[in-house]
Amino acid sequence: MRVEYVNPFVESAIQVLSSTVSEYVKREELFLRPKMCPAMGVTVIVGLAGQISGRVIIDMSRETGLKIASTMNDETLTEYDELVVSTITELANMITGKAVTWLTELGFQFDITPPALFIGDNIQISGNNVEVMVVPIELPQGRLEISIGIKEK
Amino acid sequence: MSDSIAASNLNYKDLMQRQQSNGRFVSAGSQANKKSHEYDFKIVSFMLGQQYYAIDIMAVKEIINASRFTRIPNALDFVMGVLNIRGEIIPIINLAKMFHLESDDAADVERQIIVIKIDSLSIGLVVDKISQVIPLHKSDIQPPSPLLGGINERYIAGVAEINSRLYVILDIEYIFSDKEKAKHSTLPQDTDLNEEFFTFFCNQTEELANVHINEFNREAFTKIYVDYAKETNLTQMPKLDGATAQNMAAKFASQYTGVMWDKPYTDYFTEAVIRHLATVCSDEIRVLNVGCGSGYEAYTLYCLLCDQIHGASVRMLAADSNLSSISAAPNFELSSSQIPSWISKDKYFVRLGENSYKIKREVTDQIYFEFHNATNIESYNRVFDLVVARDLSLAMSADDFRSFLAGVSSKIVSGGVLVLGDNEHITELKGFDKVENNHLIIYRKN
Repeated sequence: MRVEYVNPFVESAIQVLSSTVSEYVKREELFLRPKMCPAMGVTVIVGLAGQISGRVIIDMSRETGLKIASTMNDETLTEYDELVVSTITELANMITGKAVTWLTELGFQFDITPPALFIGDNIQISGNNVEVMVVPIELPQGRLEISIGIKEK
Repeated sequence: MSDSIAASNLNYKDLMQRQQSNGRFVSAGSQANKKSHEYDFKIVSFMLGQQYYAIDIMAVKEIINASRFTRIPNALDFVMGVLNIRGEIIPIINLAKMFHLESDDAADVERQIIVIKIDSLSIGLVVDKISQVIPLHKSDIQPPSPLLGGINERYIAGVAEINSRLYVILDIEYIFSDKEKAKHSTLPQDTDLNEEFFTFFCNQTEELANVHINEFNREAFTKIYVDYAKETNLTQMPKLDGATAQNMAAKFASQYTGVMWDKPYTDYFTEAVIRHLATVCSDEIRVLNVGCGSGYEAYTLYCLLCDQIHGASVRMLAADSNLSSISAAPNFELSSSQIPSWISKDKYFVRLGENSYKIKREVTDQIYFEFHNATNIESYNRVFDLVVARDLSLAMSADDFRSFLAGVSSKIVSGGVLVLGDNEHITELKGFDKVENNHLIIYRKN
């Protein structure tokens, strides 16, 4: 993972989450996974294209997803209805979008694809041998893992 | 000895009850466990200090309460003594102390002890409070995160969150096979190099300096240990503090680690590596520099290659797993005293102020700095002519390092060169010829 890419993703995640979900955002230490990983229950995938190819995966438990959606909508949501799904999808869009804007300012040409949301147990995500950087984030609503895998062309 | 025999009152009944009540919340907590009897294995959980830990129940022989262990003179500080259980003498180890965790170690209080059996050896582990037996699914266990702190990450089999409580599952077999020597509670008498001291020295260095000592670097650490023993006139178990351990690890480091390389090392390097590369490479030299830190090594290599092979373009991939140092690498700045005389300041640096220089943009553009931990070399979809990976064995377990070497072997072109640390010892590397002169050992891909 090219070092210039690291900060925009980390910073945008923190900025977006702290302004939309909770001001108590705690980032834990970044780490690398050799491959894509098992998912926690609710997963949003945003593709990256342009001078590179890759994807951003935002992963959380069902409970965390509901709590985040509840906070963002300022009402108590209890099941995965359309509102919850589109809220979480939008959150992923905001995080990735901001990072990509930032990278464009630094001179890297990136585009993002529309996010896709998956809900289910025992999902495994596998990428074609791309090393993944994981940004673990602790929120009062629960834990998020943002995995970023980028392959240079 | 007889007064140390403990009442071996087994708490099975209590544990069974707890487990039943426990089965309920586990099945409620995890959607994968619909029924409480569906589990892969069970763990025994206990407290050390304020935290919950657990071990696989299959290693546990029994649980006893005891006090008044028979003390052993001159024993390691985490060995509380020995205990006679139905005729078998077992060592009692204070787990909290072994891992440098805070715990109360008053000798006379009755303590809960988990007796474990590894191979044919029984060991008693003193813990602060045994809590429960928990049935688990493999999928409930997450791999340990490097953030856990406290107990060295390598001793941890995984982490499970149950009922919003985090259990750190210890890899008990690994701990005691690793500390093999430490389980004997008597000390040898001679003060020369002996294995017992050395193993302990290695364990402390590994834990405190956060390095790995393995088959690839043990030989050098043996020498470092001998020097240390002579210097401190070692007569009892070595007890390193953090700074000493760091210092020991620093002694292992190759020449010019963390600074720009200078003569004569650069001359040796040119002689052994670059002359050869010049005959193999065409106009582009592809370099992989793993463990480049904040860039000293990468920029030195770049300057050296450009100076020595005229008209060649150098493309380099420089990687490190330390995010803060690698992030600083693209904006590399030096004071003029840090730039050795062989490097042309005008050619490679921009003068920022009185005394400070910054690397030129053209140079940085040729080097691709990457946050990477070397366990996934296969993911690179390109090949290299030169791989420089000095002292990487310190940062990886033996298995990881072995797979790293295998990965490098598949990514290096025939005739390409691999350079490892000065003190790293590899007897034979498959697919490579070891070329050794007085100053440098390199590996040439055949």
